[in-house]
Amino acid sequence: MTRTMTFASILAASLSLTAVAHADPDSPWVAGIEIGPRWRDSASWDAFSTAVAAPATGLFVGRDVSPSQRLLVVGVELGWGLESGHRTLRQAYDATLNTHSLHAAASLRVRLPFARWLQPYARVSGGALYHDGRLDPESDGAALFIDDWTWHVGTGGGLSVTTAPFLRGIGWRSARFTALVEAGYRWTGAPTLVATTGRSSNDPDAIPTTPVNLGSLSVAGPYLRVAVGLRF
Amino acid sequence: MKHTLSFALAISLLAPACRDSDDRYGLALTTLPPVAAAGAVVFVETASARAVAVNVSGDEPSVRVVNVGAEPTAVVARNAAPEALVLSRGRRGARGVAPEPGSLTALPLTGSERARTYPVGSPFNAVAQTPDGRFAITYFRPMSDAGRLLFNPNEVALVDLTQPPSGTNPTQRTVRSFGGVPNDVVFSPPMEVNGEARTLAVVLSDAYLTLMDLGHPERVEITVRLTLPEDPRAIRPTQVLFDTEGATLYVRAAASDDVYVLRLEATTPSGADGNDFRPAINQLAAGRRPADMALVGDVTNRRLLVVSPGSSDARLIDARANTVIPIPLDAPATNILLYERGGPGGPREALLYSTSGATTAVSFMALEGIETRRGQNVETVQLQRQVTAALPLADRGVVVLGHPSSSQGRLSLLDLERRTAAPILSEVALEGARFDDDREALWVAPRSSDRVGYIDLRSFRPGELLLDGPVTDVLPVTDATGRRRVVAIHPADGGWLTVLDGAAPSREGARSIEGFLLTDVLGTVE
Repeated sequence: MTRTMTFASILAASLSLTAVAHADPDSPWVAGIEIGPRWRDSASWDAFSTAVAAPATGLFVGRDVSPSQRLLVVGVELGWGLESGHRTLRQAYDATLNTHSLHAAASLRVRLPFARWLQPYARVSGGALYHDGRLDPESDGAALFIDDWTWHVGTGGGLSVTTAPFLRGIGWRSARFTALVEAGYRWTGAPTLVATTGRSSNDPDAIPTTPVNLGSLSVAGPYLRVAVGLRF
Repeated sequence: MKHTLSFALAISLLAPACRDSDDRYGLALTTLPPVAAAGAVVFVETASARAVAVNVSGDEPSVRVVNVGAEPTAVVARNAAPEALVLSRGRRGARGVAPEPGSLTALPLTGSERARTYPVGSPFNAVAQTPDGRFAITYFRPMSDAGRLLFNPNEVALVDLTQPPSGTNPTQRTVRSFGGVPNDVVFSPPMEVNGEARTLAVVLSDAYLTLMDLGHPERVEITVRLTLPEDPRAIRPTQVLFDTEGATLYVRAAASDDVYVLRLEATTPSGADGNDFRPAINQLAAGRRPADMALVGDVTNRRLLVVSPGSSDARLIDARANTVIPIPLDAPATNILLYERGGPGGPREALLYSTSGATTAVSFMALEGIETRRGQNVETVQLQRQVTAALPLADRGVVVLGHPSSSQGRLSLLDLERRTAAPILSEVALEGARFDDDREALWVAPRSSDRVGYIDLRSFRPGELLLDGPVTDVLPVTDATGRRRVVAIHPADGGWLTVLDGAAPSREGARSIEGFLLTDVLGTVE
């Protein structure tokens, strides 16, 4: 399923290349949505999914910070993403883990003289990950809750394409569609996840409970990022 | 060109990313019945072969997880040492999975010492240990399917738990068989035999038993038949008493009206692996289907007291003189409890009672002069209720008796000195009750109730405590410092227990931990 989605994304991005016109450099802002799989190097992820990769979705906004007429264009970006996993753990718990990522990134794009609509780029990113999970027992007991923060940094490279302005008719001369496909690797922290039951926090008269150490979770691994957006 | 580049990029990323999914997260989360030992409660997950030890001696429970051998089948507390023993049957192996021998894992429960794994070789399913916890024997209890193409049910492995695993530890042996397989293994306390104190392992099989000298594991075992070779009866030895000063074993067997007396006599060893003692067997009538026996008298006048529910008398057997003295009883008995009336140093007496439901009376027997006074030394006390179980507190002069459910309650306290019984109203049967290690309190947990009950055995005052969920079991735990804890186990997929202060149980002092079977589920297990 994940591979199918990956190849479909690549195909869609590739096809979009054929439809674009020459890019105009006067569109420093960009906003978009992204999808793509996040593979995991560590088997600890398998506790929360039977798939080897987590589907991810996200939003981002960015701006070019160097003069756009140059050969090399520097851009910065802020974004949020969500990766999810779900499975039956040890035939006893319905395990769900949502990982939110907040990132800041910098990219260096190359404006090809012979095809200005096509821009290869390199990108570095970093930020925070927030793991938010729960384990619901299949039969007896209370749900266990997980939440933890860690860091992530990544690097990757890709291609972006940009269309010609398409809203000139209403006076917005800088609006263009853009699409990109990027592959890279993300390093993350491996926090020790702690599971707490909501039993005592929901009932002040309940007997206090001791949290349980589930072990280390790492979501580091290669990623593929496909995005579409608007440059303006 | 563009497509080719994208595909090449994707494939190069997929290649390292497509590792095999870890299937351990799909294994069932089932455990062996937990055991309490050295301030901890130990659960063993069977599918993932992990021992989860919840230490309850501190202010908050702490969890330690240790991998054990594949297919764990038994967990017991090690005697006289702060360890748990986990017996694993090992793995047959499959395509891509290497076979693994059976093993015995000694898991230290205090400090940070690493677990020791003794490869016992075969897929044994039972473990027994000496009272001092030095030796363990793994063996095969009768079973319908060993899960192997071939196995020898008379093979045993002797493990010296005080020594690390080595080429000579464990020692594997095959006990001589007359067609049967071991039913049980019992150990003697240190016995003086031929001038040397030694611990014997006694392997009980149908119609015979085998003696192994644990101080000399290289010596050949001694097998003693309890029936004639032409006798097809499986009389099945079930109880062994050791006269450590007289170097004598007394054996009671199901389906036999006799008791067997094995006197260990000094002899000259024949060869390097020969024994320096041999048993001389004597067989004495003990009434109809003897059910319990006890040693009475000192070393100069040692006798065996035997009760048989099929007889209207008890038997006092002098094995040296080959005499049997019947002592008439008003009520048949199945159990014997020896005690000193009025406390240590008082006259020796025996309480004879039946848990078979055949009578509602118990017998008090004064042992002083019993040979001559016989029935005059016996007093029968009518309880008006059947006895289903008894928990002796002879050092405190009482026995807690369990009874069938009635308006008089299911428990009573039998005062051994006054010879009176006082009822205690209880919703639960005595069979589910648990003592503290030092017998300061008795704990009960009615099924599906949110409460645990207790009786302070110093004041005999009962109490109960409401917990946050139904209780399935209650385990008293004492740590190395003597601090008493009580662990109530609740039903929960990932394990849930509540720790109570055994000396002063209260909700305020209680602490729970839930989901502890998932500890280190993501990795980092020892």
